[in-house]
Amino acid sequence: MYVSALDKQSTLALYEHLFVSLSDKKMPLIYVEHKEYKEIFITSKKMKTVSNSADADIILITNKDTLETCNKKLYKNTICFTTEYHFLKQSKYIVGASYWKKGRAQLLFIENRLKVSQIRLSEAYQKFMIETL
Amino acid sequence: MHIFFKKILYSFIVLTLFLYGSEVDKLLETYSQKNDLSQKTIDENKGHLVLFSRDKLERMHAKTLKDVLKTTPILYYRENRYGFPDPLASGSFESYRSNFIRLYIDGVEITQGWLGSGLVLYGDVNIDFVDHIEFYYMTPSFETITESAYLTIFLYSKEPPKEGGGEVNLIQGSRGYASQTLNYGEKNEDYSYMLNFSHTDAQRQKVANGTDTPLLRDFERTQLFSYIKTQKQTAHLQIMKKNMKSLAGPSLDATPLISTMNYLNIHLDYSLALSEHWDVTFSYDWVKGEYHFEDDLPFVSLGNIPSTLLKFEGKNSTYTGELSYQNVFEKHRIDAGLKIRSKVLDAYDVVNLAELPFNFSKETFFSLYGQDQYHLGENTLLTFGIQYNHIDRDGNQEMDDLLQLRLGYIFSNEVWSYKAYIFRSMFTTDSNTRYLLSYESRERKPQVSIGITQEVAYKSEDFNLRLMLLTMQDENGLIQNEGKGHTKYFFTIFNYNYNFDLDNKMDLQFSYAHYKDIFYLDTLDDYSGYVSFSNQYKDVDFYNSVVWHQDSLTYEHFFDWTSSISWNVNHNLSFTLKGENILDKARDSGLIRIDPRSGNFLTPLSMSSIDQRIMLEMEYRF
Repeated sequence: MYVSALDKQSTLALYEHLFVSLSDKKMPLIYVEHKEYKEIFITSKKMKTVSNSADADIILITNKDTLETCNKKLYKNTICFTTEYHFLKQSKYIVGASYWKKGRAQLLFIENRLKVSQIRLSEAYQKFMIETL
Repeated sequence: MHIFFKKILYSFIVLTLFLYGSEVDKLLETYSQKNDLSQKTIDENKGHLVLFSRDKLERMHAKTLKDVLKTTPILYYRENRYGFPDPLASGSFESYRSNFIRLYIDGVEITQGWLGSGLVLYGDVNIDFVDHIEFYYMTPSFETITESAYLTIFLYSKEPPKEGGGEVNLIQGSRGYASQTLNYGEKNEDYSYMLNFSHTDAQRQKVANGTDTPLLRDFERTQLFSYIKTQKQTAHLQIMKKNMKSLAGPSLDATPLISTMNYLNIHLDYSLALSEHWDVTFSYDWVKGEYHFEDDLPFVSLGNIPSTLLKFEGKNSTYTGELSYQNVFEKHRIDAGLKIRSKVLDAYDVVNLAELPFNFSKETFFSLYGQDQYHLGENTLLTFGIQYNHIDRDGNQEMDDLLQLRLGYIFSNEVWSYKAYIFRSMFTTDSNTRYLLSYESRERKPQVSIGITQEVAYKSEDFNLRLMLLTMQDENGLIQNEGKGHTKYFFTIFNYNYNFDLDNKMDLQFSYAHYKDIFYLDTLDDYSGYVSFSNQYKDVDFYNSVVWHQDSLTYEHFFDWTSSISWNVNHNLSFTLKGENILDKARDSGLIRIDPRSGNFLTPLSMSSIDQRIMLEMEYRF
């Protein structure tokens, strides 16, 4: 039967590095609805999951519900990041995406959106940056 | 600050940035590898694995299983005299020889029933729907096979969570080659589904036969692949229609006037997880074949009358049911199950033949298996398997009882792994041969193959190394070198894969096969090598590979060079220019010819199964 389990260790390592870089906080607060991501992020010592999007520093958008939450932009300083490339086109507030293309994991950040959110990423992420979508 | 120290500091900062930059690459690469779909399906106990991951298939721009099979070690793509994909073909007059190779899609075997292995029609299948491919060499584990095999090929389809949405792919090639595919998949909370449609019209390189009418192998193929999956259930529907010019066909001197074959194939399967430990699977394969062969001189006897025409239609159905059980008891992982396969010849109508000379029409396999994987320690596993097959046939054909055994040892830690198997496999004459050929073939006793295989591998952050040593002996071989004894095999395969960085990789492979008493030869040595480089620079991908072959028949060197360059215009659109067999020096194989008047052997025809071709491809995702 089909089982879509994420590899815990590598997923956590990647997202910890990513979210700590995106947020200026030492222990960013993450909101995510996707069960698998939630189960992995709960074990993290570098970030904390929250059950209310209003409390989050970063919202990880994995479905249309969280996309709508992000689009309402009720929480001024919340950073929106997604696991689906096509959501990037559906919201101007999403600063970047981690998605799959042809069997390879991809990272993408949109420079002008990062500027609007006043986020400055380290040099390590420059090669994944595009100016506009 | 002194200038010397400024330089040191600057170098340190640059080095730190460089190292820090590569840290993200490494995190991404590890994340890619660990979450690759192949990690969910690989079973190290299925045999000796040669893996083509999704990433590898994309870098190769592999569009058909043929593109992959031409690079595999020991058993590689070859076509027989009918134009069928038949890696074990000898060039002689047998209709199909590769029944020792079995093909699976999403874990369910695709079989052509009467013809045997699904490779007959799927050997060059369009693989646009495929995520990754696993090749398991030598003795497979018994929970995977119904009929014996010593190479099992597993195609696993793409998954919508990773590949949601749609994709259109258009290819236009030289010599009138064109292919179109459309793929769409979606996942919601309760189920996921995928539809993949492809059409290929291939005008292929002609094969000169010394007449004004060269041999043709053009084909037109339309295929549909689809599935729907829930947490506990999976159903597949596959349809393939293939019309082909079939090369020499049964023409003795390879100068047919007409040689065509048309197929329609339907595959349906359904799997259900009854509980945590019990699974059930049903599958149905139906094939209709229309065959038309004509020659200027008689090449076949119909009712003891020599004929220059052979025109017939055959239909057969294969029904397979499987009930399997799996559980863990302390250190034992137990797999057991019952499989039943019934192959039924539904119809067989031959023009100018009123009555068929025999009434064999049904063959039923009953298979009972058990397997124990015992954890000796944290990194070691001992496995023992046993399978008993009973084969029942109608029409006064002999029944067969087969007993197969498999003992294995696996050691694996983060860096090293070692695998070893001893096995005993049994094979019977396939239904098509049993039905069509002489009584002698029909009554041939089952073949017993005994073998020992070993594999050692080393894995580091940047490279992988692997060496396989495989040896086997056939007793009562189904195809024997008359009066010479049992066929013996020795294979060795060496692999080295190196990752320069996230975007640049190299793969190296070398294989050597030694055969004793095969194809009317005392010995045969076969050497092959494969090297590939895949590189990415900004929006452009490059791929180059060379497959090299040489054997002890001619000692001639063959080189199959494939090269592609892709431009990723944006996330949705890419263009690729690809050349296959660019030097037109891919491996040749011989086609045996006999003078129908004298019965003497003629010089074999030489032909390559890999066409020289240039293609332009457009890929659009939506």
